[in-house]
Amino acid sequence: MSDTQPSAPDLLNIGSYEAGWHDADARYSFKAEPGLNENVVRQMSEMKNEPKWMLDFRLRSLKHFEERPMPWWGGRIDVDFDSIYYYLKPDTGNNRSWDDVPEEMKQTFERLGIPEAERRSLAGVGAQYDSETVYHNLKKEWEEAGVVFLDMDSGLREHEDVVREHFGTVIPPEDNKFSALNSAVWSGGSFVYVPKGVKIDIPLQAYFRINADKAGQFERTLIIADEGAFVHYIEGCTAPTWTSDSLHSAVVEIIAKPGSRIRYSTVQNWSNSVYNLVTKRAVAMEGSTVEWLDGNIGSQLTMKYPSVMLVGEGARGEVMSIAYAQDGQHQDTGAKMVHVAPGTTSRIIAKSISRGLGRSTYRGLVRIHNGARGAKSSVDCDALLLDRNSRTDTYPYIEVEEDSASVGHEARVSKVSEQQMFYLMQRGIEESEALALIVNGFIEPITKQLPLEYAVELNRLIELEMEGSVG
Amino acid sequence: MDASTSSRTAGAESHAGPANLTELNDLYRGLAAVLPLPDLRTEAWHYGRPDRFLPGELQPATSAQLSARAQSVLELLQSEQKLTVLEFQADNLEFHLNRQAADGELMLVQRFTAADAFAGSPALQPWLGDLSQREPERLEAEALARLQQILLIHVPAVHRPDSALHLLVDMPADGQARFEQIVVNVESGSELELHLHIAGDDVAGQSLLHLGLDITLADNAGFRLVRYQHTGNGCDIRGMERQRLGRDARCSSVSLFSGGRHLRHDVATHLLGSGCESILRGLYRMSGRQTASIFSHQDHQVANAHSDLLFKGTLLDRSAASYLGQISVAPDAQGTDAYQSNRSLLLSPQARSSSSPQLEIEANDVRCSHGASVANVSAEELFYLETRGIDPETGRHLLISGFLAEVADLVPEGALREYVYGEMLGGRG
Repeated sequence: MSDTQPSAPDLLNIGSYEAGWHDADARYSFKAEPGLNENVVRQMSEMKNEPKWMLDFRLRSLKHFEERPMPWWGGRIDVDFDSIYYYLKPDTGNNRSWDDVPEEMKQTFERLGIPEAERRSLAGVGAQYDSETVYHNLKKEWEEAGVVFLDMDSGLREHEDVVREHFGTVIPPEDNKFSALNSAVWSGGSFVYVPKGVKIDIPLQAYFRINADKAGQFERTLIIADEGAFVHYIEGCTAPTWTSDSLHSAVVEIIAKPGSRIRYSTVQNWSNSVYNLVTKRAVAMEGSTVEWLDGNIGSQLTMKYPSVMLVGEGARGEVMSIAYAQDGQHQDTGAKMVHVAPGTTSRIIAKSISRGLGRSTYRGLVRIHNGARGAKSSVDCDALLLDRNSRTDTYPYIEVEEDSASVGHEARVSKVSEQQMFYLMQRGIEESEALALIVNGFIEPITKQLPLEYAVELNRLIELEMEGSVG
Repeated sequence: MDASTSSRTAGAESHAGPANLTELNDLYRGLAAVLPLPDLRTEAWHYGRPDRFLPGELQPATSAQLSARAQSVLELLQSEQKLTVLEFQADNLEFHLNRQAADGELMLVQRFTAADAFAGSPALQPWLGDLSQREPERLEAEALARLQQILLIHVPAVHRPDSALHLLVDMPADGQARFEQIVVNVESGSELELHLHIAGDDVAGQSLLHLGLDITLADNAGFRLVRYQHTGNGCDIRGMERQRLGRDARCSSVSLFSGGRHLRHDVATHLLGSGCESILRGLYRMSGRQTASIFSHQDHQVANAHSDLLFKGTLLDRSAASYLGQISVAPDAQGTDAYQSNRSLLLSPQARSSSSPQLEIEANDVRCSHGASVANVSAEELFYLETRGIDPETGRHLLISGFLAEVADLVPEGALREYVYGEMLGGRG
């Protein structure tokens, strides 16, 4: 049977985290003292040679971070903020050729399959190692078409006006405690601009790797698709397994101008020592489409709710999300759709699998403002529980102020059916393999959404977790 | 009730609680003074306004003339001869028709005021035992501190009264607040059908009612509740309903809400014995500037229990409704079958609705699902009716009646259902 399903990811063997090694020889040209204070922020900004407005932005955010209480809802956040290293600058510049990347870092990324993926099927690749981007490249044809794909720091240097106009407009520092933290100490991330009418038919990819112990990674991404443009951006994440906690707190802002389409795909595969507290939000203007494809396999605790603000008439938002929680993991994920303009539509499909003592939570909001005439939204949540002790929760919030809108929400929780297992096993399929088939079938509606060229990279990422699979 | 049931389902084997109502009031007065109002961020009050249900300057209710609405319900019930009717006011309990059926061997209906000792009624013990284990929130503490009377309805083991018991609760007068508690205790193998009518007329100021309804069903007991709330302007009602179900017990409730000003309704069903079943149905019709905030909790603590909830609402004018529901399934509650659904019809551009059906599941062999929808009358369905020659106005009326009927039809047939339909549809679409 396994012969007929060669590429089917086998979720059942996600027991051994295969990206959990770390690079012991890594050298840092600068490692800030652990803990967060004004000095660290000033030092960072100075080393990056930033304009004054950015320093002010960072300081304002730091103040808000310090004043804002921890979220009262969601997962248990036990981060010792004083022991985290907020800025770790690897001992290399930002390179455009893999040959220039220091050998040990290159090995890290080779081992994760990044350069190979670029050669095969990507329009551009960025790789971030702790706080800084160590590699960034965009294929020539796209550069000539006017596409900008830079790390955020270079983006700020080279396109200050565009960055200043949009930075922090979708997610202001005051949005939540962790967006404030990111705004204070952000480093790295991607800056993408796709000019009017340009459709990048193969994806751009960024790869994020935390290497150091007790590291904090705070990348900041801003993607702007101008009128009628299209871009597919992919992000992958891994980290070594440390005994102490690491913190990943990104902010991703997306602006989809009229008629554009942006697809953002993430597969986070952080190790179990990482707290992944991320804010991702898009603004969708008239007739534009924003799609989030969100896979959460790793981390100790993830709190992430990709959002779309549908502000232009006829805009569309879509979130497809898979969460997999096993022992020691809490995936608190979901989506938010805010309908402001008439004729806007949204769809959320969330599937979660809980195994062992894992806990997966769907938390989502659909809000229809008065005046969003004819807005439509549908939410579909499915949870699969593999073991007696697994846990799943569903917390949907639906708020409607518009009588011509239509909103529906459905959720189901089930275990693997004994009948299905019996059927497969009496066909001679072993128990573990039968279970794998059923789980794969469960997530298939989302995995089949992945474009072929993306599948190369995604499968690689998932297979890191799946190696040694049954059959 | 056998000893093991009483200790498991009610936790009342040794009780050292208050000896009478005055002691009970004192016990909670202290708590009410120190507890903060529920934070709007706590889940249960996410969309509610707890301060609306504080007694504030309102005076304790005194006995008054029956309101016109209550009077018409009373007449309606009297005209249907077979019913047992009680009138439940601030300081008297009147039995209309067939008092024997209510007060004889089959059923015990007893009223407790400040002067009555609780010790005289062992049937009240399970409730007191439960009360001593509760951690009340501020509003409940306020209510228990001011509780004016407790009505106990007790059905001894293996008794099945022939007819339903109707209980009529009139709203307090303008500027008054009343705090009441009804305790229903159905013993092993017995059954009871209770119809609860809460009626009141328009008042210029505020009329506030806190009504607690605690239901304990022993093993294999059956209980059916029809609650009908129909009050006038200025009437604010906070209802708290708690069900505790023993092994193989069956409970079904239908709650209909119309009129009034601010409504807060909490219903919790605790499934404590395996094989028990709780069916909950609710319907709210809001108009003007009325608000409704509904909180439900289906608490599955044991294996193989079943619960099924459906709350529907229609929202007119500038009314607002919020629903927050929870299904929780304990790790041992394998074989649970639970369903929860909230459907709202938004019938005006200014009406608002929010809905949050939640699941917390810690067992894997379960079947749990929920759904929620908010929309207007479907244009496609209207069009279909139009093609059949039905004008849009009538079509709309038909569709809304159909929407309401799924719940309203659960009220037993007769003059009362007609009355309910008249009030719920209110002659408008």
